[in-house]
Amino acid sequence: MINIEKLRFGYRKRALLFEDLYLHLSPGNICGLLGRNGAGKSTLLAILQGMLFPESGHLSVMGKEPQTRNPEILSNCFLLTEDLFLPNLSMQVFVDLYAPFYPRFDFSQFSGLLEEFQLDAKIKLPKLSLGQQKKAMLAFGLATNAQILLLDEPTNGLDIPSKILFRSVLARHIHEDRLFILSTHQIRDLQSLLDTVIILEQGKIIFQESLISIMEHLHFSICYQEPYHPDVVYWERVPGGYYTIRIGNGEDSLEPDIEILFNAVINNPEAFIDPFKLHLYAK
Amino acid sequence: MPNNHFKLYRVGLLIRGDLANTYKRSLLIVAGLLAFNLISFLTLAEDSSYTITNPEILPTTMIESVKFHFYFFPISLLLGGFIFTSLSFWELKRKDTRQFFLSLPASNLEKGMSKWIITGLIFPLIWLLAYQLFAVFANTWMINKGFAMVSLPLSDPWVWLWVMVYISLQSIFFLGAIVFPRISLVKTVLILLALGFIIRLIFLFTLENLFPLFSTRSDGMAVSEGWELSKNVFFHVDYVSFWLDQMPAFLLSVLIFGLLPILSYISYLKLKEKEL
Repeated sequence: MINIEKLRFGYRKRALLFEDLYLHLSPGNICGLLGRNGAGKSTLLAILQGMLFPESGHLSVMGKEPQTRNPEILSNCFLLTEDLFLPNLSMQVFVDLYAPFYPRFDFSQFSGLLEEFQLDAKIKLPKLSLGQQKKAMLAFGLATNAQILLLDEPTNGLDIPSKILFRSVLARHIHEDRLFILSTHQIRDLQSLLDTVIILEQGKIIFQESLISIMEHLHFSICYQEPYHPDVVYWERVPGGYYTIRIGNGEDSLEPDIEILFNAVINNPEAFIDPFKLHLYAK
Repeated sequence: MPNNHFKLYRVGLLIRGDLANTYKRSLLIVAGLLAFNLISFLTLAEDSSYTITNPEILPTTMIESVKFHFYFFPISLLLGGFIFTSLSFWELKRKDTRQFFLSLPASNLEKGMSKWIITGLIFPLIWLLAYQLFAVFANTWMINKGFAMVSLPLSDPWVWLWVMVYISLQSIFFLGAIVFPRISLVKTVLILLALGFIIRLIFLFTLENLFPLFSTRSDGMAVSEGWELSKNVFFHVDYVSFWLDQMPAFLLSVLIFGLLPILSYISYLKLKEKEL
C-alpha cells in the first residue's frame, strides 16, 4: 500500500531530514510512527499525502505517486493534522461542501460518529473546543472511507473519556483494506491500539516491527534489582523496580511498554538488530 | 480510461466551497468599490465641469456623465478586480490553510481553474451588475436634480472590451497571488514597476539609439544623420508609423491572445509546485 525506497528529503536551507529512507506498509494495520521532536514524523505524513515533494527516491501510495496530487489518491488518503484549519462553517455545512469530494463518503456513518462523539453539527467549527474539533474531523476522516488515514498527534487536546472513545472508534474502523498511521508523542494513549511500531531516527526508519514480532523476539518484565542478565538489552527504573527488556523466545512476559521500547531503541539501536535478524531498514 | 484530472463537477464544488468561505470578503470589496464610485460621483457632480447648471444644455450634461462612466467603470473594474484576484489564493498564506487547500481531492488544474473562474469571470459579471445598480442610482439622482444622465448599457462593446482587458491583465495578478501568497497585490505591483523600469532602461539604451523615431527627441521625420545603417537595413518611417498607428489594437491582441494563456499556464505550473 505504501512503498518508500531511498527517499531523500530536506527543507530548503536546512540539513537533509531523510536520506535513504525505506518504508513498506501493508493494509490492515494500525501503525504507530514514533520519533523525537524534529525527527520528521509530520513531514513524513505530509510527504505520503503529496503535500511535500521528496528530492529523490521512489515513493508510491496505492501504486501512484502522491506528488501528482491525483484526486483519486487525495480522496483515498486522509490526513488529520495537528494544527487544524477549520473554516467558519458549521459541521453540517462543511460536510455539504466537502463530502462530495470523497466518492465513498458515508453520511449515515458520519452522523453516527457525531452522535457517538456527542457533537452538535450545527455549531460553527471554530467555536468548538480543540478536542471537539479533533473529534469532528476524525468523524469526517473516518466517514470518507479513505483507505489510508494519517493521524498526526490525534490525542492532543482530548480528555480521558475522549481518548478511550477515540481508541474504540479507531479499532472498530480498521479492516483489511485500510491502513492507519498514527504519529504521536503520547504513545501510552495509543499503545493498546497499535499493531505495528515504526521508529524514525536521524532520517531513517531504525525500527519497524509488528507487535506480534516484538512479543516473539523480546521479553518484557519488571525486576526488583538492577538486571545484569547478558540478554538484557535495556532497562529503565520505574516505580516498583526496573522495567527490563531482554531477548526472548516467546515466553510469557508483560505487555510491552512502547514508550520504554522506544527509549531502548533510540538509545541502543544496534541491540535490536540481532533479535529481529536484521529486520530493520537502518543501513 | 476515465479522465480523473479534470471534472467539471469538482470545479463546481471548489467554486461553491470557495464562495462559501469568502463571500463576506467579496461583498466587502464590491461594497468598497461602490462606495468609491459613489463618493467620486457625488464629489464630481458638484463640480461645475461635471454638472451643467443650465438644463437646456442637456447634450453637454450627457457627455459629462458618459465621461464619468468612461473613467470610473474601467478604473473600478481593474482596481477592484486586481485586489480581488490578489486575495484569491488566501489559502496559500498559512500552513494550515495551505494544507487544507492542497489536500482537497481535486487536481491542481481544477483548483487553478476554479479560482480563475471566480476571479476572471464571476467577479467582472458581479461588478457589471453592481455597476448597473450604481448607474441607475446616479441616473435617478441626476434626473431628480433636473439633469440628464446616461446609463451604461451592457450591450455597449466598450463595456465588454474593458471586461476583456480586465480578464487579460488579471492573469498577472492571478500569477502574483500564487507566487506571493502574502501581500500579493503590493508585491505584484512592485514587480510590475521594476519590470517597467527595466524595459524603459532597455528602451533608452538600445531601441532609442537604434531607432531614433522612438525617441521623444525625434521630430518624426526621416532618420537623423549617422543612422544610415539602420535606415539601409530595414528602418523605414512608414513602417514605424504603421506600427505606431496599430499599436493599441496590436497590444490588445497580444494581451488577450498572448498574456492570458501564457500566464495562466505559468500559474498552473506554480500551483503544481506549491508545497506545505
